[in-house]
This record gives sequence, structure tokens and C-alpha cells, in this order.
Amino acid sequence: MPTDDDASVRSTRGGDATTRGAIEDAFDKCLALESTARDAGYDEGVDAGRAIGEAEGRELGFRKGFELAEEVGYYAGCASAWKACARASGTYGERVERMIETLERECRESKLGDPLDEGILERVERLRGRFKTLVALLGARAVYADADASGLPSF
Amino acid sequence: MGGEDLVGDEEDFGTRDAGETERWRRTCAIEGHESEVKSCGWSPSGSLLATCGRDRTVWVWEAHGEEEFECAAAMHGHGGDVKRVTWHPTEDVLVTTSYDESVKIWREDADGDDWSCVRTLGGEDGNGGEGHASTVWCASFEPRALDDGRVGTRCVTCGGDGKLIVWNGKGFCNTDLEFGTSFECGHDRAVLSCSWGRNGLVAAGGGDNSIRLYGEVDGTWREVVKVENAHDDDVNHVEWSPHDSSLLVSASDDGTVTIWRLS
Repeated sequence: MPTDDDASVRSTRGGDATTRGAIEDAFDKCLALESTARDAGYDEGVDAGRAIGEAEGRELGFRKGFELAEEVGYYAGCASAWKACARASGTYGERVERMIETLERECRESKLGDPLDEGILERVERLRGRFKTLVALLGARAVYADADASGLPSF
Repeated sequence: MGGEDLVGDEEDFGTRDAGETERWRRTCAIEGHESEVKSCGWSPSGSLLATCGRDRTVWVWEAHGEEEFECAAAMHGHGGDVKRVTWHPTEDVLVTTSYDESVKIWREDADGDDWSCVRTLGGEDGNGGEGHASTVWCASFEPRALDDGRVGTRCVTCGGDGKLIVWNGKGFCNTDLEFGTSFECGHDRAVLSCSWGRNGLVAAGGGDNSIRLYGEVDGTWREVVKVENAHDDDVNHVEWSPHDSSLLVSASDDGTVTIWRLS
């Protein structure tokens, strides 16, 4: 025959389904504490990393974009100056004048705007080549000797 | 094909004496490269000169009057030291080899004001095609008129990966190339120079001081002659004589130049 003592013992044993569930959840939370904390930390890290990455990326992009545009701008300026010299002296020859014209036009059409455009580097390389060709043709190597912006180490 | 041998040629090619130097006169100095110039060569038409160097550029110079050369183009594109320029035997088409593991083919643009790379074989820009796995040191075209009457159409390259690659010619006058076959040099050093002779044999000089000749036997390339210790140091350059197809010259880091005769 159930007594009051029996009833209380029954309840602490979690004889009731929801009570048992509640106690199991409580224990689960303790067991999962490490992975929960790690996941939360990971999410925080991803957000922080994204923010810092964006800032660093912007800085790098600015630097690279500046270098590229500076190089093209330099060639455009040289082309402009040479064009004026050619007109003034009249002794440059048809081929040189044509190449100056081409350099000027290609600088204008270099389309540096889209960072995802893989053709940009190729176009800048071609400009670099035309610039060097003109420097050699004009016999002006001493003047433009340090102009090469692509001063990467080579082996 | 067996039984061939390469022996040092005893013929005396003489040495320059003081009086002889007066017959050589510097006619023109060409400036453009920014660091060491690694190679130069005349085009088959004789009116063009190609140069290449450590600054990763390839330049084409055009004869301008009797003794002057003016710059036709300064080409960028290689990602490393350009080791060698080699002209096509009949057309003004240029092949260059580089530290960047690629072989590039260059041609003058239709408008005549610039030169462009029309093909990259191997290396990073080679679209995943077959190629060398290390510095490509040299390229040599199969002579168009071989001794056995055949017409050559191919080109051979050699590299730091110990391989020789034969590229098949295609397109106009076989000025375009595609991968044909590759074979091992037989030693574990770099192959620094190769030369395709009119006799059909490919000579190669190596970092192992040897000179080896390779021939096609039943469609497969095989080493047919080996001269170990041909020199006391790296063999930098080997070249078949354009006139006597049994004569080979070799130059080495040991400071000597040797003439060899194939018997």
C-alpha cells in the first residue's frame, strides 16, 4: 500500500516523464559545455576575422590598385610628353610617332576599373613593353632607367 | 643505328692571333635589357635579332641601315629568367624558354608594331598542358632538310627536370607547336643544351658533364651515344655544324670548347 514516503521517493526518482526530461536536459548542457563554448567562440571569431579581413583587403587592394594605376598614369604622361616633343621636333619618324599614339590610346583604354578582370595585368604588361620599346627607340634609356615599376625579384 | 661513336676531332681550328683581332670591329651596341642578357640570335631572314635575359623580357631588334639596330618590341610575359631565344628555321617566329618552366612562341602582330605570345607550352600559363617541370634551358628545331631526305617539322626542348620533350609542328610552316613525346636524359642533372642535327640525332649537354646523342628507333627516342666526362664541368652548349652533319661543338664551364666527330 503506497505511503507518503513512497510517493516522495517516487517523485525524486523522476517517475514523471517531463521531470525526467528536464533533468536529462540539465545534464546534457553540462556535458556539451565545451563544444557549445567552442562553437560560440568560433562564430565570434568568424565575425571578427571577416571585419579585419575586409579592412586589410581594402588596404591591400588600395595599394595594388594604386601601383597599377600609377604605372599606367606614368606611361600616359610620358606618351603625352613625347607626343609634344615629336610635334615640336618633327624628326621622330613615322614609326615612333605611330607607337607614341598607340601607347597613348592604350593607356586611355587600359580599363583598370574591374579588379576581377584578369586581362588587366596582360594589358599593363603590353603597355610596359611598348614603353620600353619607345625608350629604346628614343635612345632615352639613361633618363628612364629607374622607371620600371615591376621591380620584383628575379632569379 | 648502333655502333656510332663521338670522338674529339683532331682538326686544328687554330687560335686567334693579335693580327686577326683587327678584322673584328664593334659596329653597334644595343641597350634595353635591365640585367644579364642570357641569349641572342639572328632570325632566318637575317634582318631581326632576338635577345632575352634575367629581367624576364624578350626583345626583338630590327636592322636599320647598315650597322644599326632599332628596337622592334620588348615583350613581357615570362614569369622568370628567359634562358634562350631560338628562331624558327624558315619563318620569323621566335621560341623562348624560361625559368618559369614554359616555352613561348612569339610572332609579329598583324599591324607590325608589336610582337605577341601566340602559344605558351607548359608552366603556369600553359593551360595545364604537358611541359617541363623545371627550368627549360634550350630549344632546337628539327632541320627542315634532313640528310635522309625527310622534311623536319618538330622542335626539341630540354630542361632542369632531366627531360627532353619533342614538340610536333603544326599550322603555317609548322610554326605552331604541340606536345609530341618526352623522354629521360639518362642522368639526374639538368640538361642545359640541346641541338637537333641534320643527321636526325638530338645532341644534349648536361650538368653531369656528359654529351649524349638520342635517336628515334622504331618511333621511340633512345640514347644512342653517351660520352661521360666529355668535359670536366657542366656542358653549357652543344651545337651541330650546319654544314658537316657529323661535327658537333661543345662548350663547358671547364673553360674549354671541343669539336666532336660522329663516326
